[in-house]
Amino acid sequence: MKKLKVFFLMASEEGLFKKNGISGKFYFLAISMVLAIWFSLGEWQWLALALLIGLVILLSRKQLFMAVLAMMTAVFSIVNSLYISPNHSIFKEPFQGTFEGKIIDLPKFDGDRLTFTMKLHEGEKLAVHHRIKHSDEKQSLMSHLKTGLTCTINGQLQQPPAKDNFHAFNYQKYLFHQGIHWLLQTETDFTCGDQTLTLLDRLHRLREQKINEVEKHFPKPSSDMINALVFGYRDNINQEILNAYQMLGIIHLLAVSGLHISVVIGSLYYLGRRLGFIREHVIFLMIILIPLYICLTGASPSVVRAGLMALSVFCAQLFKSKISALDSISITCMSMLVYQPHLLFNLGFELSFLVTFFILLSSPFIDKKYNSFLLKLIAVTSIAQLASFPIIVYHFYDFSLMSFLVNLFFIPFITFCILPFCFIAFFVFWLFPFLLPYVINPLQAALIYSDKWLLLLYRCHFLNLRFGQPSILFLIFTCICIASVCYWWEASKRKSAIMGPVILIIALYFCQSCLGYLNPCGKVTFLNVGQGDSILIQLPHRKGNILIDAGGYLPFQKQKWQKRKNPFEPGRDVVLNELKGYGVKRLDAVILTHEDYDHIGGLKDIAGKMPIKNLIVSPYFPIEGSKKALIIKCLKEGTAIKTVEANDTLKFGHYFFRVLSPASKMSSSNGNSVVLAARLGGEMWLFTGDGDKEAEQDLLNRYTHLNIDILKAGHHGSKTSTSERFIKKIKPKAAIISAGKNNRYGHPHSEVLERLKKQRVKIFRTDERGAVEVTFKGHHIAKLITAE
Amino acid sequence: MGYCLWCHQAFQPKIGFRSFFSIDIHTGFCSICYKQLQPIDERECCRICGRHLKLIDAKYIKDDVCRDCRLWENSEWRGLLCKNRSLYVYNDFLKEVVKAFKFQGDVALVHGFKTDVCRFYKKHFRNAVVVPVPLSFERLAERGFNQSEHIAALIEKPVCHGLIRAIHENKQSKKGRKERMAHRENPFKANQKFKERLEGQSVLLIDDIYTTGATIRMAAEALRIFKPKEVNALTLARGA
Repeated sequence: MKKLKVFFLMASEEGLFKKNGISGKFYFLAISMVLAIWFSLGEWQWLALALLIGLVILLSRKQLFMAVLAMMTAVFSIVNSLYISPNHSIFKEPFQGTFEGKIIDLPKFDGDRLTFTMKLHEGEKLAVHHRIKHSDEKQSLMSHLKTGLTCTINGQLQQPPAKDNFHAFNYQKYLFHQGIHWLLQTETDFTCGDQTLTLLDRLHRLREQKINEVEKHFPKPSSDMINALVFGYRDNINQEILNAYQMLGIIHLLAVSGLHISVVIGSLYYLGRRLGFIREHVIFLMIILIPLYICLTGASPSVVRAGLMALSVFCAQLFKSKISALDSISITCMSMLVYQPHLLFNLGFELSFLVTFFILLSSPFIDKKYNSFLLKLIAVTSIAQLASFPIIVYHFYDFSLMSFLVNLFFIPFITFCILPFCFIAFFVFWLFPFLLPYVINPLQAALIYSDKWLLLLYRCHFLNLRFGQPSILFLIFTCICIASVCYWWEASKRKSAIMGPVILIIALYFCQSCLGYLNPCGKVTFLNVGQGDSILIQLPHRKGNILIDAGGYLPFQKQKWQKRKNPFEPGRDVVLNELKGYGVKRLDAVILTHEDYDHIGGLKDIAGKMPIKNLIVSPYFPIEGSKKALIIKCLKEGTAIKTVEANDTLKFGHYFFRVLSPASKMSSSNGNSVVLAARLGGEMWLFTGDGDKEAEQDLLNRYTHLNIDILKAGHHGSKTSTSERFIKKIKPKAAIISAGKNNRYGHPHSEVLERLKKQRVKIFRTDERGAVEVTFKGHHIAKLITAE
Repeated sequence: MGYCLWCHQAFQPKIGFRSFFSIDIHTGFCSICYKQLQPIDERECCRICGRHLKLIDAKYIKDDVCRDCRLWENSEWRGLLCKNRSLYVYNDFLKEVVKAFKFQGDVALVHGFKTDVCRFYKKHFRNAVVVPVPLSFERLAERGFNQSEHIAALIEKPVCHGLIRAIHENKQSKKGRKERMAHRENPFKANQKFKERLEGQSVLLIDDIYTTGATIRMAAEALRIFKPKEVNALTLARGA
């Protein structure tokens, strides 16, 4: 111990580090490590390499020793991420089999689905998806399934689904960065038993047990909050509230965050000192407690970051040395990345480190410039918003200006009011349960009140800036702007410089909007809404955004225990998300071809979330039952409802959409589909809705010279549509079929595929290739890409 | 990490966005010691001698010029010195530092002033020829170094030894104002070797302390034979 201490002292104070000025400059090494990992594992790797080389050259001109160290760090981390801790599976292809392994996280029950992560004895991790068949089975699983159990499961290994829409969440990539390569799908019962439990397993058990206890004994909003703030578990929180937190940019408060850890550790330290322990003992106690607390809170990257940073500061204190906050965060970052290079692609990791790093860099000048607490808070909030801005926009496409204000109020509110209250409530419940009502009632009241406010703010989204998926150039530009604003803010003597970040973000927003108006490309996107239709047409120069149908899942009749908390909704999860991703701010027209649920069901999630100018239906669209409610909802949001029939024309800028059908009432609702034809990118498009053979025949009778280039095959490729005669007559070059993967109707029908193939029509299927996006420019089609 | 030149405590200079890429090893005063220095606001100082005008009574000030300077400008010394700028007020802390630096030989202390000296040079006297005020041979032998030269070296520009101090006198610091102002023989002589470099140039004299301005003006007078464009002075401290 003593030798170690002497060595540490020599190394830190007199030796290598001090002499060469490395101490205080560890962030150069951390940055080079981040760039190296980005280069070896990420996208746009040449950008990373260029930045890395730039950094090394810059360093070498000032201090060669530092440059050499940075280069060594980079080489080491490239080797480490590619060869020492590689991320590949021992299974080469999917197969059915029996697997034995340990459950390593909290099993999650959602309706009739059970998910958890299992670590096989070989070290491979699998994501297990189990379908529960009976409510009794669910009961028994819920009561005995715990972390740390060893299970034997018979199931099918599957490739996790990749993204099937352009802006969809990529589950495959998400799992890949966690070192998980296979999905284990199972329906059969499986057996579990306890084997050797490690300390970590025991901690996980303790956490699980406490979470369940809190869930059971506390009323609703408080239990969620206590679980989120004390144990870092927020899976039970109401989705609507979670969305509000996310959109308003305060979701970080619901995780155990850095600030939070500092409050907890700070108060423990103070308490220890007040109780009369000497400093060294308190520090020693902390060094033991912090890792335990990290495990108890689920070890999310932000907790680990805060915990390790605190740990490094305490360790340095124990050796009577000092470590600067920047060094501490850099060393923490490096050690986490050496242990798990793929963490770099974790959203929580990125946000936590970036925001903290920016706050640390800005704190000297904020301290110097602003005296009042309020101004300091505003300045720090702005810096944090600025730092997180590119990441937020890249992942969520939206940025709420409200988040400046909400953060300003909610950070102190949650950290200094709710957080201590939650801890007190938890300990009171643990030690003196009879006192609980006195603590829980104020907490409950405060939470209900604050949730009300949040939901109110969430619903009025006038300060919400929609950026859409930013291009790499826009991101680079944004980063340069952010760096310059920070630089300028620090140099500026004026106090009003505090407005810089807000102004920058608004300026960037206008920049992005103007780019949209200048863009000469238009897009037709056949969204993959599963079994259903939804086509988004974006005209060049923002002349109009038209949505033809909105998808929709016909809900199964399910028992209560089977119902998922957040069942897949194509309207919300696909259409709305894609609209956001494309940066669509309002829809000029939504055309509902006909009244089937797989065409209109999604509209209920879009209306109210996105302004719609016109809703266009056929005269034979029956307004009754749920459809009536839908129409009323649209009317309330200020949407005009129009009916169109054959020979009408819809005009957007200089783009015309001819309505070809319905001319008269047909026998079936599908036959009454609105059929549209338009010339986009020099090609003639036909959007048929669910039009059947009868409607097709009617079309041919009325338009004898119909010549179509690109056809949306009617009725998801069912054999009742797309008749041979119709194809022969209109002679399309390509057909797009929008159908769900493995749908129960067997769409598209093989006969239809045959017919199309016979006429040499190119086929693009959303069920096979995901969403289909066709970009057109002027009088030609620029490119066609599919999501999968 | 570095050690404060004055209090010898280890300290970490704060890194912000502007100093993000600077990786020089910091030598200087720690923030606590640095705060004890009292910088002179450039907008509130005497136009000529650089004295902090807030510290003297308003009745002595006229057109941003202090009474001392008016006296100088009404005498035969008029116009010799264009302007002097001092970095700090000669307060108790700086007195201690100067004592250690000048009389006790802690020459390294001078590096604590480097950033400010360079900043002033760039701001007010860009491209002026730097001439440190010399010591007499006897004084140099006694002290071992010339403090002005060390200050001048901070600017990292070629230094021009355009002056020679031919006459050995008692220390200025041991004299009163009357004695300093009394008409005496100019101890400085221009060094003819540097005629070419100084002729027609703007010259910057470097000294440690400006108290009455007598030394600086004598030096300026000695340089007059070179017909410099203007003579300015940069000093660490402006004595009250």
